[in-house]
Amino acid sequence: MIQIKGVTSFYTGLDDKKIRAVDNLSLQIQQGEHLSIIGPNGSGKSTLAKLLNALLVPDEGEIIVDGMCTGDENNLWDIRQRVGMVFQNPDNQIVATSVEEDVAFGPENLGVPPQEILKRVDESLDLVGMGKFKNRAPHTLSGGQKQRVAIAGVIAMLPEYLVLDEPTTMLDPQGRDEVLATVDFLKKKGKSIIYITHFMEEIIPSDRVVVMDEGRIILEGTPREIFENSSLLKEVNLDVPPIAALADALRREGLPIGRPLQVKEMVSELWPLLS
Amino acid sequence: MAFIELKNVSVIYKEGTPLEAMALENISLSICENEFIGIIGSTGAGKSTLVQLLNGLIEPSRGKVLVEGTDLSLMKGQDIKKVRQKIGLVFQYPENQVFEESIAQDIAFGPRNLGLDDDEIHARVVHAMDFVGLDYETFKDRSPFELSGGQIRRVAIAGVLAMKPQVLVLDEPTAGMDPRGRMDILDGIAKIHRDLKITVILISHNMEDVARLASRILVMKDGRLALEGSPNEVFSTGDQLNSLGLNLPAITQLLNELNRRGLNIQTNLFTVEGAETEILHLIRRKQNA
Repeated sequence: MIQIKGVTSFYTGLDDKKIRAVDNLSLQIQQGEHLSIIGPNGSGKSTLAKLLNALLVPDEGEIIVDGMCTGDENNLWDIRQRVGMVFQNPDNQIVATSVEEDVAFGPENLGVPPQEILKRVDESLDLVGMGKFKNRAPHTLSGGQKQRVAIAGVIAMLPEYLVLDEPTTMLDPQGRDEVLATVDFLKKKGKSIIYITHFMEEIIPSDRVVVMDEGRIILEGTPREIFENSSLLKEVNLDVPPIAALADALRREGLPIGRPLQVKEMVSELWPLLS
Repeated sequence: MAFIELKNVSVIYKEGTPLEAMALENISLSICENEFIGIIGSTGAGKSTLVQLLNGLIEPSRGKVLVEGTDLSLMKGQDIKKVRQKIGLVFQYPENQVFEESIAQDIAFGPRNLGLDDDEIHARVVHAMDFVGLDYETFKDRSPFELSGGQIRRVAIAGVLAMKPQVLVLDEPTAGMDPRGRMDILDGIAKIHRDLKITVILISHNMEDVARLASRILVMKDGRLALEGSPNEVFSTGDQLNSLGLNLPAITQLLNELNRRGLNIQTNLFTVEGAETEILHLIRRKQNA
């Protein structure tokens, strides 16, 4: 479990003004949970992500990862191994000249024995569906493939928690589908997923969603509960996915329609009314 | 006459070396005045290479690029400069393009290079900022580095507008922005197209946006022009689009599925509003029957 207890994190803006990126935020993340975090640009999502694996340390409050406080430097390596991070731009995360070496980089740094590294590399690449590309040079891969290699590199460190900070922002539709399918698969394998995004449709598979604004949590619930608050979402520059928006619009016209989020669900809602 | 014409254009990087790579292959294409063109295609399909050809930032290895009937490869420096004024490019992540101390200076950089006098430059900066929704008095002296992502993108677009271009090319202008920021930028682009009669070429990964805004869509795949047509035409090819690594807008998927099940419903709609009208229409017709 990750416990975030009354955490505040400042950054220094212009004129040395201190700005609260995260403001007295408390949240618990359970093992095996798939949690999505959404919020407008500048709401503190990425700062929160960096706090989770001690890339940043809280200015106030504390974060406890499986009993270890992120503020204690002695815990740094353990925490970074437990909480793996995947960022927006796959090109900034790839360090080696072959896929295999890239995935091996993390476990090598952890001092994992060579035989064990080889095993982990193969298993991680298989998990993200990139086993065939083991010997390829990363720059010959598509964006979605690179991002999956980045995920494999994190998986090879055997983390409990996987934090993905807008992992699909720079990808094309196919690359995005690949990453989402990979995340879904890892979730089924029991990994905890903390997924930060601007794409409303990407939060649909999660167990719980947290909406952030100005460093605070303003809404929390299942995806369906979140999308019931479309006016609040719009106030903070967010939106609901097209299918949910269409259902809202038709409901306002008096049609008996529930709260579908996906095309299939919407077809089932509409079919009795139209056929 | 087409404003821009590509005739059998290929771009080959590092030709004649073991690293040779075909970025564009035999593309022929005309773009007319006041069109709104959407370019879609997977990463590495050649979209960005294509738009950099249009104002001579890169040269074709084969074939010709004509702007207003003149072959770019035959132009001298001064004429190429004129082409770059006419065809303005806003790159991905314009955060990397701003550099001046103040926003007004940043936007004035292009017009100043055109050798315009101070009054004209000032007038253009004021007008361009007004057009992208940045209040001149509020923003003129602020540093571009203290702006939000959405504001910086507006500055970048204003900088190109201040050149009074005839064509505005935008390479994924909304990547990484939240939904509201995305909508504001896209509404601004639609307004530029409508009110200033500027030809817009928009590269995007978002099918909804392209379907809603573009009058013609170019679909790129592996350096080739794989598909071309109105949004109706392009998005009615469902399966083919999937094989090109793209997908249909969710609303269109819904209408297609209802249609596949035997419902006589219009499927060439891409927006929530369009689908809402069509569904309400069908329900009323059923009630009256």
